[in-house]
Amino acid sequence: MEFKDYYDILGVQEDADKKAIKTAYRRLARKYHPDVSKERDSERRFKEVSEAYEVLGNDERRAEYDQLRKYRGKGGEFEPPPGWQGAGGGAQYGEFDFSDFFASAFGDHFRQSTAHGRSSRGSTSSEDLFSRRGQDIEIDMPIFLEETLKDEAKTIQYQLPHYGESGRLQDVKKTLKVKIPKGAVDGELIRLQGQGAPGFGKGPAGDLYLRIKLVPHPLFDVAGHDLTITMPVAPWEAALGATVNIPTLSGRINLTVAPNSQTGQRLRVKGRGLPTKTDKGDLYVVLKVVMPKTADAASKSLWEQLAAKHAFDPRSELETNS
Amino acid sequence: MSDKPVKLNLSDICLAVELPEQVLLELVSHDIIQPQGERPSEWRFDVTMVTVVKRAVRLHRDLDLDWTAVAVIEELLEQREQLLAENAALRRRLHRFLEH
Repeated sequence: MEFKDYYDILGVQEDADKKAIKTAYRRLARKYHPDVSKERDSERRFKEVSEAYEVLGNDERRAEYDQLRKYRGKGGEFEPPPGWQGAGGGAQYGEFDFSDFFASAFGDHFRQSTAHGRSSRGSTSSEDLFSRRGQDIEIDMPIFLEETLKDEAKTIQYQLPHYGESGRLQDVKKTLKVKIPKGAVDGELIRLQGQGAPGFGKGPAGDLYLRIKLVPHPLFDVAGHDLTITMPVAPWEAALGATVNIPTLSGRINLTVAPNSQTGQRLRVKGRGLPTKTDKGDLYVVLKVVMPKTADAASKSLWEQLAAKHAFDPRSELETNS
Repeated sequence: MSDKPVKLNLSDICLAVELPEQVLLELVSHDIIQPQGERPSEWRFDVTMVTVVKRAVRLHRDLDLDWTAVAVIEELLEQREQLLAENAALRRRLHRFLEH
């Protein structure tokens, strides 16, 4: 397995004191913490940094690590020395797996030192001491706007970690049918108890959290439960008023555009938005006056007549403000 | 699954996040999560708060922050998410306006 140089990972010298190690860890943890970082690959980097600090920040483990470091082979390969008290794969800290290297070097006693606080609610039998609830799994679930109109059943597939007697095995694929409640909104979480990763020992399985992600629609924009559609109108429709036929999520409707309408004007169509749990949002139609791409001689002549007769100055505001 | 949003009581959320009540009380007192209801026995938590609690605890533990600092970060992260979503929505609308 690959040897992990924790001093390199934290960017400190071999003889760095505890304070320097802590400062380096804090700096890198802030930089790569997956909850706040926008760095690429932040999760992997943060795991590495945490693992390094877990070892170098503890006198006993650091001394053991320094011993192991002497056995480091050429080319970064590493085998624990014969008789080393390592436990094999699967050491866990918090919510993620540390590397095989860490598990091999510290797995056994690390697990013993952390098992007390994390497992066996109130129980002290040695079997329960190693029981641990399975990890929760959080996955995004893309949903089309149309699918929020009524209760929809969706089939999802996800990977579950799988543990055998020899430790972690290859993930298994799981398929579930999930009901998406009517009126689901972007970011909403659906919790499926016990559908997360299996527990260790007698520990229960974790939960599965599905985060609703509304897929951007080619026509409609979403704000809460309201929808917005941008509707192009011809200059004469904006000038004279018109009845236009527009799409909504639940079929087409006729809409009246008032005479002298402007670009950017917003018309509200009540109840044609996304459903809430008990009601319905609205659809906002934003007008966009569009010129024809080409003009034939007859049209040009009509525009010229209009230009000659109309005293409209669209730039009057620019004049007064300059 | 019912039509009503699923709400968790205090012991449900403690089980879901594997934390003692004391930590949840701390998070509520720092306004990091806001349950419905007056007294702890009446509190109801939205499922979305499970992820907020987990993130707050990770920040507290991994970055060695006190709860007040976590509360500030949580608020800023929430604002950032809202602004990013709003920005993306405005960009889409602008694009619809500019395309011909």
